[in-house]
Amino acid sequence: MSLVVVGLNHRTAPVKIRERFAIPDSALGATAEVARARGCTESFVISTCNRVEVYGAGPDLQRVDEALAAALGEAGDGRVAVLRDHCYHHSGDSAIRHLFRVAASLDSMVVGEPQILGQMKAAFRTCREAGLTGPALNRAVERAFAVAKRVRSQTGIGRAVVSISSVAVDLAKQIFGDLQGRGAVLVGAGKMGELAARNLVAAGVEELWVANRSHDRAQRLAETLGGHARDLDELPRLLLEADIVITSTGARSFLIDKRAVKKAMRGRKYRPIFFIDIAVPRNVDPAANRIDNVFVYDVDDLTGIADENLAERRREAEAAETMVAGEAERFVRELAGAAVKPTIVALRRKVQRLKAAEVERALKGLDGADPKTVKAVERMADAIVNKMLHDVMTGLKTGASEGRAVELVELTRHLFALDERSE
Amino acid sequence: METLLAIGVGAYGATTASYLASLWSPRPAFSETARWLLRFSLGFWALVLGFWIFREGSAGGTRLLLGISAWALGGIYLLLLRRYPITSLGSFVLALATVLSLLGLMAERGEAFLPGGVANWLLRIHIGLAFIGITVFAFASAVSLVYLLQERMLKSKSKSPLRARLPNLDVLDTLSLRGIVAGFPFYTVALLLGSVQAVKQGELSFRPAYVAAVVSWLIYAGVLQARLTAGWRGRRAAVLTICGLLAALTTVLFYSFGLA
Repeated sequence: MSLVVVGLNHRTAPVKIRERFAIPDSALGATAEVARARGCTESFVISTCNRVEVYGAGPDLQRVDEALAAALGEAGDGRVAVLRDHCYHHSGDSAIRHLFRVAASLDSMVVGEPQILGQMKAAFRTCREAGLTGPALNRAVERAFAVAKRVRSQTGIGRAVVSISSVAVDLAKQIFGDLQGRGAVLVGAGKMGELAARNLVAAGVEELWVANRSHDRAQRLAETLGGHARDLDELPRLLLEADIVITSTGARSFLIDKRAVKKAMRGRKYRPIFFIDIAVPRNVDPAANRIDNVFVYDVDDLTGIADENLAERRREAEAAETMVAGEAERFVRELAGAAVKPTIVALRRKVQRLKAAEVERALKGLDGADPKTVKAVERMADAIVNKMLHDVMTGLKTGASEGRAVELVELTRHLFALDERSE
Repeated sequence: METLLAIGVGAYGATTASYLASLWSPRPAFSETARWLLRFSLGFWALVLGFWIFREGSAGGTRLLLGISAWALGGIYLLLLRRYPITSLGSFVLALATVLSLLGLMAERGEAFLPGGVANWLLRIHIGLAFIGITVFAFASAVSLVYLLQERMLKSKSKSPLRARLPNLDVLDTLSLRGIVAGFPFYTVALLLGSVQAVKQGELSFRPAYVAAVVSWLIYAGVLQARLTAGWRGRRAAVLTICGLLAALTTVLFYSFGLA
């Protein structure tokens, strides 16, 4: 039983193509069902914003591949020609390697992002509970999840954050530790600032104030974020209370200068304060960074750290790739071993039977042979059998690991007449 | 005994190396190994120190005190590790513990701090308390050193992965303050007992060791006062914590060279 995958992702298809083939969670089972109806014995479908993939298993690789392509084409309303230009096909060892890489987030747009594993688990659960998967897929997918977990725990692939707003939250945590009980003020109503504020609230910031020139806009944004609206002229007072200040206004000069920060620090008894200045032109005087316990980061600083984190992820991804390749190879070997095992057992059983019969016949001819002679004959028979079987078994295992299991099993069973009832 | 001490120093050295590796690479295997090595080192040192005290008592002198200090530093770190995210602090604390245990290994045998004739219970308690105080101050100083490093990296917008691996400023500042709060009573009583001893022997004067001891005490008292009442924190507090330790170590050096 071999594995096949047919799919398209962010590398092979632009979003306008991907969105046509996207499958809602509620229809994953139906697509897998189509694949089964077309010739797979097992099937499993995953659909995220960056990929749509149909996995299948069955005895005939060609038939499984066609069935998966048909199921995917049907998901895209029969756009088979479009699919042909943008999809990829993997089968056998290559499919297993691909599955392991996807689960370990090595094939993701942002390498190391953690969502893919959760999405795969949910999709697999849906298909499994619908009875659409079987032993081959269950074994491979569960192993892929285990490998992904290992990659996550043994490499630093998912450790460093790579978006600007996440970097800002990360820096806040490096200054304040736990963000529970901390206060933040968002100055201005820019999109980036809003995203950073949202991430800070998600990370535990308890008090959020939104200050803007237009009070109405501040009010609307504060309601969305679960904060309080304030007028911009309240900023000096807010600097005394807030631990984190996000600025993203369109002001042409510094909104917060060094003198204002110095004054605020005296009022704060030098409690640390973190300015996240996402505005261009900048809203916070960078010279304020020289004051004790004041940390000022502008958009370039945050981008620089995000880029470095991404580079670190890539370095860790190299180690993860080696780990995944090794695990995939080991899994393929295990599968190959499992495929030839029944033939090896049958062969050994038959040869042992033949040996026992021939030894018995030989000993009858040596009437009155002493125990030493009996033992020597048995030992000789054992040696011949073991030496002969050794080469056959090694050949079977090696050939199986090279993808020739079906061919070699058939040949062995034919040559040694393993399927005949009377011997 | 020499062999056991050398093994103990080696164990601390290996633990420090593991912590340095975990600082260099984010892979959890390094920090896990370091934690196991730390547990092994502390267990080994506990056995060695127990055996040593049982066999030689206070005759262990300077070497014994340094050994206990090194062990206590590792122990304090391991205890705090349960509550605070301070894995990367291990490189600094264990490096300090390794240096202390190595100094112990190289120190002269015998009671270096109890020269002939003046060994009495008051002096023993004075030395014991002073060492406890200095050990805790040493921990606070290691924490302060890491604070300065982390603060510098945050201020300079460093892109080094090390910044992400060092503990956050808040936890470092808290631990440094708690170190001074914990060590100060021991150090104060030690200083008082030392003064009583000096008065009894009619030796209280402006000798270098006394001056250094008083200066270190004043620094720590000042840091504590400023931190607890004026809300001082951060870089200045960290710098003064390290200065206090340097003054306290100067006192020990003066004693060691007979400049008491």
